[in-house]
Amino acid sequence: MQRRQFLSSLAAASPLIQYRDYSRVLPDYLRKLAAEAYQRRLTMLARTPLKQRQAWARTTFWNLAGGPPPERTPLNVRTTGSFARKGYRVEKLVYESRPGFHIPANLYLPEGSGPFPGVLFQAGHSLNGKAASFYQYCCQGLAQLGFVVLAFDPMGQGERTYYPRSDGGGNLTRLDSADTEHTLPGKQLLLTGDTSTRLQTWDALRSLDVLAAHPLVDPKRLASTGNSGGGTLTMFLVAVDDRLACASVACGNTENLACANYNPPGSTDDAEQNFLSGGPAGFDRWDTIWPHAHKPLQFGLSAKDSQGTYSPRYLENGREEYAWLARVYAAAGKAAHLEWNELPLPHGLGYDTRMHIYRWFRLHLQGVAAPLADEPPVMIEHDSALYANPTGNTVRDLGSLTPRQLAIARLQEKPVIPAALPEPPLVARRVKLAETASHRVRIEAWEIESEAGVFLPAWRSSRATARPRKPLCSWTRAAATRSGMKIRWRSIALGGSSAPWLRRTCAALAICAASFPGIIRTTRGRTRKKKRTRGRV
Amino acid sequence: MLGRPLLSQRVPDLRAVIRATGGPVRLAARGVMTVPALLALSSEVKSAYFAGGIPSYRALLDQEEPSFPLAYLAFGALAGGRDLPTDSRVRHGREWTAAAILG
Repeated sequence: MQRRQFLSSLAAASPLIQYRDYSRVLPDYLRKLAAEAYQRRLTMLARTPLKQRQAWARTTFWNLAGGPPPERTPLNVRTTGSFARKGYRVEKLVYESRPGFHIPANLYLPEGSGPFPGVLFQAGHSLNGKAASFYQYCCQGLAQLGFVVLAFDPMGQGERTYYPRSDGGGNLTRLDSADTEHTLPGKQLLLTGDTSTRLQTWDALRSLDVLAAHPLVDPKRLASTGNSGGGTLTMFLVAVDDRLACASVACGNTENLACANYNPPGSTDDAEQNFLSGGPAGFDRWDTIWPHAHKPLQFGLSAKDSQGTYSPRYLENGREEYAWLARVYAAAGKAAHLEWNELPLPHGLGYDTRMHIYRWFRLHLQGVAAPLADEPPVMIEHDSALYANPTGNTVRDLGSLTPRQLAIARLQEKPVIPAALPEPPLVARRVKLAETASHRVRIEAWEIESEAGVFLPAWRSSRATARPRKPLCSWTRAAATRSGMKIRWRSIALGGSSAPWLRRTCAALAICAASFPGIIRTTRGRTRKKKRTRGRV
Repeated sequence: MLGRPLLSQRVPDLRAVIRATGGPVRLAARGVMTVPALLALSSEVKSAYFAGGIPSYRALLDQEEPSFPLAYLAFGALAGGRDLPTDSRVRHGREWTAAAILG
C-alpha cells in the first residue's frame, strides 16, 4: 500500500479534524494592527513639514498622556541641607511639582561663580533613585566639569517610595521593583483617565523650572540626560519643553511599538512609557524626539538591550528612526548635532556612556571640543547622605500626596480620552468542526468567528439523546465553581473527573465553554509571565 | 497602544459566543472574565452568575495595592462618574448571582 493510499484509508475511516492554530490568532491580529499603525505613521512622517510635525507632536503627546499638563503652581523650593566635596557642593532640595506632591532632589554645584550650563539628570528605574551609584558618578563628574546638575527622585523611587517595606528593610519598596512602584498606581491612574506618563513628565518639567531659576545657571544653556527609564523621560521632556538646548538619551526606550517586523507584544513597557491609542493617532515614541530638531541630541545604546531590556526589534527600529531624523538634521546643515553611539556593553550608565555624555555637553554647552582624557574622580555617597528629608521618605516626613491620591482627585476633572479604533462588526459565525459522544454526553467542537479573522474554539456539551429542556449555559472562563465542585473546561470537553456532574447537568442544560485568545489552549505553553500584564493592545 | 484594549476584544468575542449558542443563555463567569461578561450582557442572557471578580473599578482605586490585570481595565472607565455596569438597571429581569467577589 502506498503512503497516499494509507492516508486516504485513514481519512475514510475517521474524518480529519481541521483545528486552526489558535495560538496565532491574537499575535496575528496584533501584527495587523501594528502594520496599519506603522504605515499610517510613515505616511504622516513623509507628508508633514517639520514645523507642523513638531507642533503636532507636542500637542499629541499631552493628549495621549491624558490631557493638558497641570497648572503651574508654586514650587515652594526649600533647601534642607548641603555638604561639600572637592570641586563641587551638593544642596538637598525639596519642592512640589503639584500642591502637596513633593520631589526631593540633589543639586550639584561646581566651584566658581557661574553662570554654568544646567543639566537635569533623570534617574532610571533604580530602587534608590538619584542615589544609585552610576547616577551619582555622572552627576559628580558633570559638576566637576562645570555643570550645575539637578538629580531628582522619580515617582516611586528613592525618597518617593510610596510602598515602603514595613519590616525594617529600610526605605526601599516592598513591591517587586521600582517599575511596579509607578506601574501599580499607573493602572489606577488609567481608570481615571490619567497616566504615569503625564505625572512623570510634569515632574521633570517642574524640575527643569527649579534648575532654570537657579542664580548660578544660564537658562539659555539647559540640557537633560538620563539612563534607561530616565533616558526615556528625557525623550518625553524634549517633546514638551523647548527650553532644552541639548540632550543625551542613554539606554532609553528608543523603539516604537508599531515597527517593521513587529513581534508581539513588542516594546510595551512600564506604565509611563506607553502611549494609549498611539497607533490610531500615528504617534509613537520616536515622535517625542522630533520637537527637539535641529538642536544637539545624542543617543547612547547598549546593543545588548535588544535581548531582554527591550524588544528584539530595538536596534532595528532605532536605527531606522534615527536615519529619518539624521536626514532632517543633514538637510538643515546640522548633521553634527546628532549622534548615535552603540556600545557592546550591558544596559546601564557605565563609564563609556558617561564619557560620551561629558563630551557631548562640553562640546555643545561649553564649546570645548578637546577630548576628555578621563572621568573626574567620583565616589559613592551613602543614600542617607543624599536624603533631602529627615528619614528619607516624603510621605512619612512631609505627608506628601501619593499618585493614588492624585488619581482619586482626578475624578473631579474632565480627562481627554484618546480615540480608540472603532469596534469592527460582530461576525458571530459558528462552524461545527467535529462531534463525539462521551459518557452519554454529546460534545460538539465548534469554531466561532467573533470578528473578521478572529477565531475561538468552543465546546458544546449536551444530553446525547434529546434536546435540552432548559436554556443554554455559556461558561465564560476555563474554570467555574458551582455547588462546591470545580469544573474545568478540559473536564467538560473530555469527560474527566467532572464527568458525573457533566452528565447530570447536561440532562437539563447544554454547556458551551469557549477558549478566548490569550487564555488556556489559545496560548502556546504556559504563559505565567510575572513581569507585566500587557493588556492594552 | 495599537488602538484597542484587550478588553474590547474580549467583549465582542464573548458576544459572539453568546450569539453562536443560538438561544437564551445562562452566563457564568469567573475571575477576570467577569469584567467582559458584565460588558457583554445582552437580551439573550437570562441569568448571570459571577464569581471571584471585582465589585467595581472604583474598588480598585480605593485599595492601596489592588491586584488585577491591566488587560481588563479601561482607560477613563471611572471618568464622568461611570463604572462597571452592576447596578439594578443591568440586573433587572435577570436571575443574578455574585459569589466570592473580591475587594
